[in-house]
Amino acid sequence: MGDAANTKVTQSAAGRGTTGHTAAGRVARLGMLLGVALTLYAVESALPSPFPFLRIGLANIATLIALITLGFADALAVTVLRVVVASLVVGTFLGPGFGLAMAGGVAGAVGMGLAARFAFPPLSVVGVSVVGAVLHNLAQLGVLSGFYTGPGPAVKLLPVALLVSAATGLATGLIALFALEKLGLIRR
Amino acid sequence: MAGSRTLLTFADRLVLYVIVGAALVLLIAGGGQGEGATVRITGDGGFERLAPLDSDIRVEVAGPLGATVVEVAGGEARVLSSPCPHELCVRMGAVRTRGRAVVCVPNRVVVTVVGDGPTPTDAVTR
Repeated sequence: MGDAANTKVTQSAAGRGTTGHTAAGRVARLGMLLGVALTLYAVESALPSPFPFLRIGLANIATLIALITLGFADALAVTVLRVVVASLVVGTFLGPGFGLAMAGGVAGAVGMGLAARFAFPPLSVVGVSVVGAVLHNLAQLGVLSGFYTGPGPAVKLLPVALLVSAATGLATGLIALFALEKLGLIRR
Repeated sequence: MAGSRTLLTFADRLVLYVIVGAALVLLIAGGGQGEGATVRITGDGGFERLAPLDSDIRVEVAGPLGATVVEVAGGEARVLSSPCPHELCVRMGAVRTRGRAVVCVPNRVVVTVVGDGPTPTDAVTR
């Protein structure tokens, strides 16, 4: 567990992440991450899934990278804009699924923001991702039971949702970790 | 790169163990409850009969045209036979999910699944 202390954000030290320091550079990177998020969303939509509600959450990779390299506000912006733009393209804007997607996305971003702010040295990027995935699914179940079905189905789905989010959070967290390393934005 | 051993920190593993552990505890705790779904059979003149969806019964409901036979078996409810002219209620087949119903309008029989059973999907998050 000695590796925990080795996890460092090297945004400026690597010399490649410095675009985030100017306003224009920040907007450029924000736009790029939104593009990444939407592309991952489109890729994931094309992947076959045994259940419509079972999603890997690949778009969360963009949120996580935004959080680590740019900060919480930008991560939240990437998430909210992704949900809005994606729903406009698919045609579910303000539909029942939109509220679920938005609640999950915002809860996941807030959860990852808190985890990154208060527990990032003990947790790695992967742990932050798992926290986000769990909160994403908990928020969706909360909205589901609060507005649509009542508490019955949500209680039944809770253990499944926890297991699924542990697995998907692990997967997306590892992908984000590898991406951040390849980009020279983080060092282990 | 010090090897795959360092991919996850101790805290990462701890979070994963806690989540999986909580899920397993919930699965085991919730396993004994079973499905709480109930079939409500109503008929003319205020007739009402409730039966668990997993029971095995046959009910004759008296209506204006005669007796409609409702069967609950194998976790499903259906109308076996009815004296109505088109027998649409019989052709509606079996219902098993909450909120679904089989209705015989001419003979005024309604078979509804109520309670905690699974509900059909009505929205998909994208």
